[in-house]
Amino acid sequence: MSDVTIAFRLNGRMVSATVAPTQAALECLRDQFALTGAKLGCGEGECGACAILLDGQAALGCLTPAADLDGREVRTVEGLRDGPALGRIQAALVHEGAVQCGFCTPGMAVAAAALLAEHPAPTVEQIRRGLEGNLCRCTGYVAIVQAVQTAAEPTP
Amino acid sequence: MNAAVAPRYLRPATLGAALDALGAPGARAIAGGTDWMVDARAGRPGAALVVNVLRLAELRGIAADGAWIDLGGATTVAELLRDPLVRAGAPLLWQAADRFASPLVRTRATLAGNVCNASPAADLTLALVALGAEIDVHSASGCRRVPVAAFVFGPRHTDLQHGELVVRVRVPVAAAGAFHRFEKSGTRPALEISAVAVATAMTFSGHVVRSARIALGAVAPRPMLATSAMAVLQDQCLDERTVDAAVLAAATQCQPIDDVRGSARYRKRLVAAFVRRALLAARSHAEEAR
Amino acid sequence: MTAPQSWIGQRVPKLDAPDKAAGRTRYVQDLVVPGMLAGAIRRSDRVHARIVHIDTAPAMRMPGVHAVLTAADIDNVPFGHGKDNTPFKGDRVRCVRDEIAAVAADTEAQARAACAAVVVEYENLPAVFDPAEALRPGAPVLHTGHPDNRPFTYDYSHGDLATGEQASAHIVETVFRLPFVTHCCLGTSCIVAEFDARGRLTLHSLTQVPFLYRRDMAAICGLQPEDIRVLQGPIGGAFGSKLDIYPYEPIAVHLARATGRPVRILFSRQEEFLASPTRQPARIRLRSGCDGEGRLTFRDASVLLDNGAYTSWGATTPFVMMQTFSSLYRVPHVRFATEVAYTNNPYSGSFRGYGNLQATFAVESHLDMLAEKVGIDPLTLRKRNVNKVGDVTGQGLRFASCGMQKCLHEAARSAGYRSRRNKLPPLRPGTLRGLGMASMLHVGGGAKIYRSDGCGSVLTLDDFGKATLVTGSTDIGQGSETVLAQMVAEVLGLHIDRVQVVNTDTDVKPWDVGVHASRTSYVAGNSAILAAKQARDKLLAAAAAQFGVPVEMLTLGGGHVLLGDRELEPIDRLVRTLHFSGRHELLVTHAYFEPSSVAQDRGFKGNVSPTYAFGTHVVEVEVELDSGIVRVLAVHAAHDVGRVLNALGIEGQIEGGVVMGLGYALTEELQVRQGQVRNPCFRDYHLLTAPEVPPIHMRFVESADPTGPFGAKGVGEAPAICVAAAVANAVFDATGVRFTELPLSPERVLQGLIDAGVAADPLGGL
Repeated sequence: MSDVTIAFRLNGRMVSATVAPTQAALECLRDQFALTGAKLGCGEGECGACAILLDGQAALGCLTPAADLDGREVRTVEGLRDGPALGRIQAALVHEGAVQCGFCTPGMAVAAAALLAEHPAPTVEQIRRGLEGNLCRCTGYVAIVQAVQTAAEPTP
Repeated sequence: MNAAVAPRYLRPATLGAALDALGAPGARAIAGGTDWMVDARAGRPGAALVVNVLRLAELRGIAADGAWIDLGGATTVAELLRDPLVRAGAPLLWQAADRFASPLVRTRATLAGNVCNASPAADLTLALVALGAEIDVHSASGCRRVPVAAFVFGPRHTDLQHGELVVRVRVPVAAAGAFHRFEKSGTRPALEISAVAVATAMTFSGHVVRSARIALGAVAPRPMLATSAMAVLQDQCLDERTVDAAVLAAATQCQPIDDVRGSARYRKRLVAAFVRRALLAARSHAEEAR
Repeated sequence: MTAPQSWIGQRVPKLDAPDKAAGRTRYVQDLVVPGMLAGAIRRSDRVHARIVHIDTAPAMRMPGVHAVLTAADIDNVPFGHGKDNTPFKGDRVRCVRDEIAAVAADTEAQARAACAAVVVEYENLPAVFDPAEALRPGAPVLHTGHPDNRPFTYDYSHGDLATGEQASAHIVETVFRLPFVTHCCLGTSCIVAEFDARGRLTLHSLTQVPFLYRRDMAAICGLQPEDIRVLQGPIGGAFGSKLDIYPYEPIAVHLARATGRPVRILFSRQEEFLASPTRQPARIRLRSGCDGEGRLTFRDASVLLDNGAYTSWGATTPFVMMQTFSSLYRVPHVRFATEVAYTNNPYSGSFRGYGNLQATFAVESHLDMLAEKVGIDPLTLRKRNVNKVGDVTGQGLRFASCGMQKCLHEAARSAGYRSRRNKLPPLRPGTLRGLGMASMLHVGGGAKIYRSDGCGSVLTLDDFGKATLVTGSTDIGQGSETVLAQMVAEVLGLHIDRVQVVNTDTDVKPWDVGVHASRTSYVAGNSAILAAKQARDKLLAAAAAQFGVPVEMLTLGGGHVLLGDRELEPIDRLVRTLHFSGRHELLVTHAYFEPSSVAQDRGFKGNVSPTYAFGTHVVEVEVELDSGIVRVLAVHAAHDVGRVLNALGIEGQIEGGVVMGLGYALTEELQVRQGQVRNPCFRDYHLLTAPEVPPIHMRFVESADPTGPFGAKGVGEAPAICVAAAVANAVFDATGVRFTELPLSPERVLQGLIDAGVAADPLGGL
């Protein structure tokens, strides 16, 4: 049998899973852990709706082999929350009107989280480049960029 | 080998174990998996054994090595972008990385993966060809050093033999005052499969071109050197006649095809436009340096 | 959020946004129903062929397979606007989408593998891909019911064309070509069908029109409408694509019936590009005239539409197009003739704007062309023909409110149009810069295309002072439920946190015709306000009786009944009093709102919507002369919205619509060649990405519609409509080259610039 057993930290807790070598991280997280925040938008790496954090860096859930989650720190959009409350980026997306149909929102939140971890005070241009792999059909991106700016501002 | 049967998977802890595993029938290496997973999702894993080499220590790390920069084959595009050695010593590679796919892909896509996937539109490989980069290819029985330009033959076709693995990539450090410019088609800064890309690396003695390497991407089965144009430029000043002749030579030498991303004629026009842009910018660069 | 003086016009975050940002929201695509099987569809390998034989035996033998169905296994009921589509295709395939067989299996991978194993024997038939060729005698016939391949024609006129031509000092004539583009909803098409033990069907659907859907699905699947429950939960975008029924939907029902299990069909992204409906492509030949001062004299439009292989809503876009040709600006004489032709291409549905983008591209390009002939600037020509409040157009559209003049003024002022047009110096060497303008008009309160354009509401105020609005209308991500909550909160003097909106279940909610024609704010809003006012009146009457105060002296505010500005009684306590003591009365009210619009007569005349939205865009572009790339530097958008209801929401609508319009103008094209879709992926079908979006400067004109809820009109479609025309006019201003075909791709633009001698061919001597 070719299945692989993996162990990793998921949204702060140690977990394990058995996955097929051809299975992607996206389906593992959605189907085995019921974390349906990350979405299947294209399955080809072009839309960003499946974005997750691997060891703090944003990556595509659809093109990351589930087997390579082994030993890593994995965070999904569900893991961006601050306990029961929304995390900074999530709250900003809500507040700035950056959520319409919301299908792209988890991917945007994850991409933004990675961006802000690397550039805590990003320029608008850095934000736009940081989100260039996340497609949105509803918002035109304006409010999303604004939300990331808001989330980056230091808390008074 | 029946590709429909699920492959086995290994993530060896050492390079030696990986090379042994790669010697098995139907074995192939994966690093970030950004190319392989597309096929795997479509039910075409194309291998009986998948060997994950992404985290092998021997394939990681970027270091100066005399006149070269030595990079691990599993260096991700994001790591390239963050590294000061690459930014200063191989600006052309840095520029190609900056226009590569998207931030979500850059954290996983690797240098060796881009070379071995051998897409005619591969941006990193194009920069490596323009820079005269080399790769160190290991197997269980030894290793060899190959210029990237000689390693890639055509779409998905390289000189990688069964049981071999690209372990290191070596890039010549840019000379002081070198001019590097990566031009790519499209309305976006990145997230674009190049219809045309042009990678230019030049050095000057005063106004005179001392060395010129121009590589053209997505206009031939593999990244190609615009050798006719390079010959025109060698030891010349970048006056109008020379620039025009080089532009014409590059456009004539490339062999683009019609496809969904553009017609052959438009691609030739872009090659001409990009080569001209690069040469005019190079000329300004040489003038400012004096 | 502390309660503002008024909820109307505030920046109110969407009620569903927190769950969506948290990743908690379960979309239809996330739904897992116990026992659910995966369905998949085997589509045609040919563009036009007779089906000689279908062998499903190899599929039946594959692992995990529960059922394999073809046309022979079901009552293959014709459906759709032309009644020419069927769930399965049994004897003939007419386009690459055609559904030949379907499989239900334990997993999606197994279902798709089994579909691939079905063996189909075809006999090719001659195919036709050009609608003009399809109309010629001798062309291959697609449907025996229409031997001329022309299922629909539309003929409209007002005034007299000859008179208009006589009165013209200048006439321009152009053929415009508009391409296939597609919705690209981030959530792909999906349905879950499940029968209960009594044979009642539940559909978890993305539909925008749950009640019409229920009725039509019943007819197609051989059920009674009352035995179907439609649950329309959170969806990943619609933009008009869910306005019709597509074969995959009844196919899911048939698979559920055959297996006795719930069945889900979920499109892959490639399948979405292939099989989801497109925007209607169009060839528009337009002749426009004006007098010596630029007053419009006539428009004569001949339109040819590629219907594709089967009929969906694309064939009805002429209804909307003719409103633009007849009524965008004052035009005394108009003729509009459309032919719709079957071809072996994919077929089109409805897509935000519904034909108006195509028509506006033609009309607004011509306005600039006429202005050039007259020798006046394009803004002056537009002002000379502007629509005004009180106008009744030749088609019978009545503008009870009209902010068009203000929109022209605001957009022009924001962009510095007058002073900067035709004079913008390049920002970089090798580029040219220009400004272009275009306006639009679109229905803003629905369109009377069905017996009723109304919406029902049921409003309950519970013992805790919480209001629940059960509305027939549907939220497709645009935030209608938030706007409705604002309206209820406003009328009842409640904090918006005390209002919830329920709109997902046809078993519970009252009838509504659906989300389309920018109707929801207007129609559902008025309906909700009626129900809320009844509730308010009940509360005030009860308080008046209880406290012995004249009812005219009472209002609602801050969750209380107010006497002047004194809090008399909390609303929740008043409701409990009504409920538990004496009167034993629950506070439940209901209303049905039917707008005043009328169905058009046989000449297509009539006021089809109670209100109309107007807007003007000015776009600044930079054209790169060696690559043909057009970069948009700024968009100035002025929109007549009647009244801003949710400032946050309306900005999002405008921004999203503008970006969608820019995609139509510049980067999007579904390349259909010989009936095949050549670019069914995001890699090769380019939506705009974040770095490509220009600054968008918005101005809202509040023309206070007399019948709109708080004066508002619907603008869901408006912002996408005139962008492309403004871009083309801007490119003309920059380069002097008039482009009449979209998209303005770099390749097309470069060729046009070279042909016109504006740019040198980079290949020079080659």
